[in-house]
Amino acid sequence: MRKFLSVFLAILVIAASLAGFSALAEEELYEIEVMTDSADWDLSTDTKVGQYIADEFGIVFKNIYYAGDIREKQSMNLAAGEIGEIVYMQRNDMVSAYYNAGVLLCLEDCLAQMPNFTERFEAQLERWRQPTGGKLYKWETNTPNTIYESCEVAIRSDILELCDWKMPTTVSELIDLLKKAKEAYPTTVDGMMTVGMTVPFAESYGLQGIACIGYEKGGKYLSIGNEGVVFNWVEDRFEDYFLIPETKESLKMFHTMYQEGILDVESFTDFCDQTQGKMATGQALAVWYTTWLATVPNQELHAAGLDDYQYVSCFIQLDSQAEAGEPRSFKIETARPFDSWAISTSCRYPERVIELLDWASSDEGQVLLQCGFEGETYTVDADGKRVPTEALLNSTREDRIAWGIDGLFEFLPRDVSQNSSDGQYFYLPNEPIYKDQVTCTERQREVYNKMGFDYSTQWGDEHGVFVDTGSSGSVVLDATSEFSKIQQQMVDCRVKWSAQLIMAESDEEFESVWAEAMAEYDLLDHQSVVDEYNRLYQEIK
Amino acid sequence: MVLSNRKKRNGVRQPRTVGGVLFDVFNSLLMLIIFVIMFYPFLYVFSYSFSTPSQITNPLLLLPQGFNIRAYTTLFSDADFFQSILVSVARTILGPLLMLLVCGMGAYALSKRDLIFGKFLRMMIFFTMYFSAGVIPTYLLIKDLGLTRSFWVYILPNLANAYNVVLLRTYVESLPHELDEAVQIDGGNELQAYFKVIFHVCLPVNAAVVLFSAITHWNSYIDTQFYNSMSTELYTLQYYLYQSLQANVSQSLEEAVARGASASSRVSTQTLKMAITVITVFPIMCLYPFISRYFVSGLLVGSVKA
Amino acid sequence: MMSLKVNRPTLGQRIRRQKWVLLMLVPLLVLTIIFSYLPLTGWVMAFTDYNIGASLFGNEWTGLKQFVRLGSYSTDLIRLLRNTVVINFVSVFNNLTCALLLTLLLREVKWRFGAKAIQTVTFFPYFVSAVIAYAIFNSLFSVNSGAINMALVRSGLIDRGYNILGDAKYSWGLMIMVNLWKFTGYNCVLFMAAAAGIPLDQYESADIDGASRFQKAVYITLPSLLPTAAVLLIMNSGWILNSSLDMFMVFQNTTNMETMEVLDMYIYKYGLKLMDYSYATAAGIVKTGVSLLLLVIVNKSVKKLSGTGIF
Repeated sequence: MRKFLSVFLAILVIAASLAGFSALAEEELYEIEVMTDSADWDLSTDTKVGQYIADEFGIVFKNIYYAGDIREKQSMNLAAGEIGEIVYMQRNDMVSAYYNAGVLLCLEDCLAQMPNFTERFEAQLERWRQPTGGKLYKWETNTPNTIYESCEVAIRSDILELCDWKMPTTVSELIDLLKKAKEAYPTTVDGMMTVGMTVPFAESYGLQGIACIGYEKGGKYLSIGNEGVVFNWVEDRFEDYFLIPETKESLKMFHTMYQEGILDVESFTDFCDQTQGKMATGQALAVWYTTWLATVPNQELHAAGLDDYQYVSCFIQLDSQAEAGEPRSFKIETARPFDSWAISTSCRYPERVIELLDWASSDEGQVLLQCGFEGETYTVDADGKRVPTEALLNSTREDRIAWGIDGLFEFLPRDVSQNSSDGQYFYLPNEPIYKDQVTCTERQREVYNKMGFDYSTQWGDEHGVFVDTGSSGSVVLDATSEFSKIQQQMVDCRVKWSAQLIMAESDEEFESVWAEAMAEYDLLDHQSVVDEYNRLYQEIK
Repeated sequence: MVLSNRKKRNGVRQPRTVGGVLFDVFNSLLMLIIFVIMFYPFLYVFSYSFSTPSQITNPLLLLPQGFNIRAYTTLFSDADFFQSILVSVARTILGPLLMLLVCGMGAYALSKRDLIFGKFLRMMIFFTMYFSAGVIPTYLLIKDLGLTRSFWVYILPNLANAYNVVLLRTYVESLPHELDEAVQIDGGNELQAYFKVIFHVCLPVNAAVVLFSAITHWNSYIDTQFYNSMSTELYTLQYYLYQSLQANVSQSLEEAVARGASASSRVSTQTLKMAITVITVFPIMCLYPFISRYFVSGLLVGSVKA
Repeated sequence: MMSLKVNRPTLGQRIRRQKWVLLMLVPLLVLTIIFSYLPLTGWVMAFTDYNIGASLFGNEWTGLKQFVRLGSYSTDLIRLLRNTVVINFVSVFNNLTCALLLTLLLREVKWRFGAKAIQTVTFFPYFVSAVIAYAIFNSLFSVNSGAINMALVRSGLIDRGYNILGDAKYSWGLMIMVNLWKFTGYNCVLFMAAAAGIPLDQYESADIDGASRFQKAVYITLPSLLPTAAVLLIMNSGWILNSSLDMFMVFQNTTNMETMEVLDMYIYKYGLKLMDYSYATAAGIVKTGVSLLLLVIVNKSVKKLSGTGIF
């Protein structure tokens, strides 16, 4: 027993000293702890760009990676008054909560000291200002971001041979291809049954977000939040998600696939993990929407010598959209409220942070933050254009992290458009000609070439219109209002019926289930939610 | 003495009957089935953690397919990993022992029939199992007590555990009263009675609650996540592992897309998750047989005689 | 008889007499008050217009508004309650019975290593997190590629796999099995500990009377374990409305929602996820009230039946 006690005491001492350590650490540099949802880096000085910031500005950032629901943590931190010096707030309702609690530092008066910042984000500033009071408290990063590289459909590349390497661009072409492929390849080389189209419907955004997403592939609607409403940019207003014809057509698409036996029935119970598992073995012939899941399986397939199975992203439109000759509208996110940042009132040296923010907004700062150092990651040619080095083009993500580029230090405002003075993207791999070399595998590039494209997103560039989401992206319902409760019911209702519609036994049954679903949906006061969205939108505009 | 007790756990050996033999056969078979059902998941997790997902062709995984230890090298190649083990071990030893001290004494006191306000106090402790104030009020309290960013947030809030108090109290109440009285007749007080006699007699239940508490401590990551997420040096193993899953709970599609697009190349997350489970379970599976030896009957009689 | 004549001791006398006992109780009491009762002041949120970041007190009073909202929104309440109670109530009963049986049978296993091995592996599922548990169940039960369905289809017993994970008619059974799998070993530990406390001489005297193994198990071991079982039953009955969010988040999907959605998921979805803490707190208070009521009822009935109660 005595022995036990002494061990016990020893541990006590260790534990106590552990707790004491952090207090002892001497502060020479100004260290700022920032809570993010990225696990990619720990200390800014571990990277070259971060070291430069430390040398020039004497500021070191420590990344506290938060695993879990970061919004929950943000609201808890606010409730408990544990506010970091630089705070991350996901979505505008969180920003408002922080603003209302009076913990954000007003940047309005500091703008005079931030000429670069003011100039670079002139267009965005108006949207960033707090609706109540009209003053600036926050900034968003990665604006204006064009979303078009992912999120269509990922197809197992070998089956494209069945359609002579012509990319299927409509739903019926896709269905034909999958039917042929299912017949031609009933099993993988390892003898596992192939499953046709698979989707991680069990994820929280599964049936809710991606089962009805067909509207996004045409020329009218943009997805904003994917809850009760979608944004019609042609008519500049919000519309009811469930009631637009594209929603029904999307569900009909899955219904047809289900009937043809080319929809993996396990989709309803699959999470991303399971979907990825099916991709890693080549069982999935296609994957709807969540194309970003392909990265790891493609590596696994490559390692296993099954390069033919690697997945490529293809662009798809609903039949009605293709017939009407609609372009594909891609959204340019000028408002990215889910990436909002601010300086809090607990910041020890706000003027130093502001100085850094302003430098980061300059051309010099943007080039360095996004693309690293001249001579290492890029060179400047005779015309003054920046050219990526081989080292950058062949780099892995780990290399880019060591340089400190490619999306690190997410709180420093980043301009991801072609806004630089030389007309190039600050992050050179964003240029279509370089992009594929950095983000695509060899097999993927080969397949795109076979399909007659010079680069992966060529179809998108040719057929797309690029639409500014504008302030529509910032509209958010008051969480405690009745509207957000009704919206949740609308989502629940749509999600519930989506599953039943997809699994209807026949076309007639599909129609009768649809009628039933509409009848139930009409019991909810859905119009009030749409109206509220439009009211808020007009207010913000 | 103990040895001989073990040999005849349920009394002296008896001549075998036909029914007895049949029962033994049946029982062994049943146990075998239970063993397989319970062991298979473990085997599955273990084998998966050493497999390459693209080479798993049979869902009924028995042995690793495409043997590969990348998941483990990813985990073990980080110094923070070992720091977090230290924190976890410290709380797993310290927490349950202090808990036993607090709850054991408390349960003994509550077991006294003539305790002042006995019924009220018993209820008061008991009901705490069934309500919780919610995350925000609790967080505020922890903050006000100055326990955020501190090791003690792992220990102090977990010391008074009503569930364990009830288990301990029930056990004490089932003991013969003579045990207690014997010490008091000798002139000792209740404190001495508890530590000299009752504590030892209660070994089986003590072992059980310490085991439960140790498991809770070993497994918990929520308190790190809530209160110590800003102090990397206080991360527990579980939180460290939880982090390496990069378990981002994206609420909306836009966020999922934004995170997905920037996802870097990693080990297949599924393999990593399995490896993490193996690392978590391993120490407890090794420890368990040592603790379970207290669950063998005969201890009570031994201690009374002593 | 003597004691009747003695005057009832005053409170002061009783405290002095029990000073050691009370001293032993102090740490438990203080910690309980601080960590369990003090934060309860936060329940005030349910009655005020609380916004995150504001102080808990001094907000505008809204009275019972949140409770009224709860009532008006819960057209689904009946369904949620039905799912919650069925899954959890059957699970409690099932888990305890099976753990009790397992304990009795384990004690008859003469090969000590085997007994220990079983005890150890049955404990394993308790450590498996929800995500991993889902991965395991998925690999076994998913409708096409699950090992069990594949085996059944291949052997020609069925044409099409059972959609255990995605069909509303299986969800209750599924969750009950998952709970059983997860908690049997855990509960078994308690029964083993209780059985360890049975005095050996009881078995010895039974041997002298010529009792068989079966008789000893039924007349000595089982009755000694019943009080523990009763206590566990009562304790668990208070948690019938509580469900593990982790588990339901992975096992619930749209296709089995009808029978899988439970109360806690609802509170999470309509309260915490929407950051409506007042609403979530109100729902939590109602749930606690009902739980305590259930607890008192079960305690009363068990006490009547078996004589064992907790309070």
